[in-house]
Amino acid sequence: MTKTKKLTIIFVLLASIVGLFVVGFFVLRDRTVWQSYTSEQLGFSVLIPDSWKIEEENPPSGPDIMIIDKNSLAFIRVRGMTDLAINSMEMIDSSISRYKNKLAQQDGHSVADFSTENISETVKEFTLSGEFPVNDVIYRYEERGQIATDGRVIIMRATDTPEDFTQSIIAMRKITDSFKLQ
Amino acid sequence: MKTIFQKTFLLLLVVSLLSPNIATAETELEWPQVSMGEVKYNYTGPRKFSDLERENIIDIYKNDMETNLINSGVAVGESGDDLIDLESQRQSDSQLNQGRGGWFPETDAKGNFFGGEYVKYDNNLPQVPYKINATINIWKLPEGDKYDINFHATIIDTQTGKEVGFTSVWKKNTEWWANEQYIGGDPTWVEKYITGFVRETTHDDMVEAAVSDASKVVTEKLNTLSEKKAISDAERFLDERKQHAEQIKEQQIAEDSDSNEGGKTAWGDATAQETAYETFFWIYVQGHDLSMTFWQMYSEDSGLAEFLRTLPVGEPVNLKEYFKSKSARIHYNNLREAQIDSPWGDGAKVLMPPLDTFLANIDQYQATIDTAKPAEDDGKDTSDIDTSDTPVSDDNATSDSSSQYDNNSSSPPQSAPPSYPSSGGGWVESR
Repeated sequence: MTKTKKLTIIFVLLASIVGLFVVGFFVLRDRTVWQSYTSEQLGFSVLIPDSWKIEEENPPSGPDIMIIDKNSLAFIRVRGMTDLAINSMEMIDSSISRYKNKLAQQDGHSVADFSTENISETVKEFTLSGEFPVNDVIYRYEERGQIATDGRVIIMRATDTPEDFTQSIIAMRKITDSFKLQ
Repeated sequence: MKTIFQKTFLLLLVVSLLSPNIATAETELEWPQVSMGEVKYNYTGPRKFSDLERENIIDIYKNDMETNLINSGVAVGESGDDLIDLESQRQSDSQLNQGRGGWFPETDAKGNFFGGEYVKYDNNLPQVPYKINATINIWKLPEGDKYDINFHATIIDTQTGKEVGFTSVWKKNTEWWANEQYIGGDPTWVEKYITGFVRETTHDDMVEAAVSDASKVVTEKLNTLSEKKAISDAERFLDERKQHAEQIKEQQIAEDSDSNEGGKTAWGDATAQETAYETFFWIYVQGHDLSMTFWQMYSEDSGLAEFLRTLPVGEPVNLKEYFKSKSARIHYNNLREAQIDSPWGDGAKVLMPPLDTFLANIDQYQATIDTAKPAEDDGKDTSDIDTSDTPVSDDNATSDSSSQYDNNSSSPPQSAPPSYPSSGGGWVESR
């Protein structure tokens, strides 16, 4: 083995050790306790930090679940609805297109980065971001929705004020990424 | 008459709003406030309605309007017989638990009791600034099963008796029962979702639809007439979140300051009351029964005493030192603001003086919390006990306090549990 190869191996080993320390540091530093929340009604589970809380309502249009940060303005709203007119991927496409247009027509709303993706042969996902005003205050959001050909619709909207959004979206994305249909 | 839902919601709202351990009521006439006045029903057509049917119809649509207004943030007060009943109920509720008011127990998610609060109401409800009178007019059309429906509502200034606004909504040539909002099928998910926080309703009943339209106009008019605008669910939710976040930040700043300054006492953070003495002090400081000493309150047969006895007894502290901490000063001001802001009932005085006044008279409060535990079986009235006595240790106090006071003439046995009020305040607001 040449001297250069030996040095390379030593360097790689040292880099790996340093990398492990760095990763370990950040893993250990994050002491957030995550709890699992399951919605029987909507048939999904999601992980939430213990500093967040859940509020559930059941309006006529379907379950309405708020995942709320106790220490800031950030919250994620999960809506579950049934639309029996949705029975094919074409109908899903059509309804997503209608939704995009409707959103754009809302006073003061702005929509960006609207995209769709087929999750399976029967489920399509849409994602978008934007801003909306309430009581003269602008809120920023990221939204993700899944629509199935059996008419089930679940939408998650992660919201915060623009000044805190960059920070809070990190935790909110962890929550929405943990979303799992049962 | 309110629905069970409204009464339950009102009760929950009362409990959730009144954060101090014992709460009083104070009304701020700033949100749109109204009471339902007279509602008349006129029907023109071949059918004859009995008096009972007419009363039922009036009740249904009157309640519809009341609910619509509440849901849009307008406070709807009682009127007529309901007002008299409520005032009478308040009077009796305020006398419960030796005059400290109704007892609202608090339980955790598993239903375990962990405390509670007394809520006392003022007996006289405030004058509601506006009243709504309404008339439902229905004409049966000669052909088919169609009607002309009109709902006319007027807003009356109760001070002057003059009409200050009105709306008249028509639904012409329509069935009484139809599906107006979603003709042709169920709403799509887009329609359901796009409504945002507003809870959508369908209007199968066209009179109800007319009442709904009229309610929107009335709400707008009341907003114009009042100092403060009624706010929707979304606005209220986000406003509350904003206030909450600001409060948290304030507390964090206070905690940071506390950790860097002197004046910390054995009681520690004022918002985390860990001993019975500390909890008593924060109840006592709200000024509801200044004649009561710690040991009197602690030994009572009441829900509050039961809660105090679940805590370590603790001991008095030097209040001047205690109030050097920002956490104590902020907590004092928060409690006082809660007394000022509480919308439940009028005339109840703000019993906590401003912080400066309180600090100027702090020796009086110190004397009360320093009042020692009376000697066992001495038969003396606790009010005569020498305040210079040294307080007993925690261990002694917790082990025998309840039995000791069973025979104390100044604190007679009170076998009845805390009494729960049968109704809350007189106002209902949406969330």
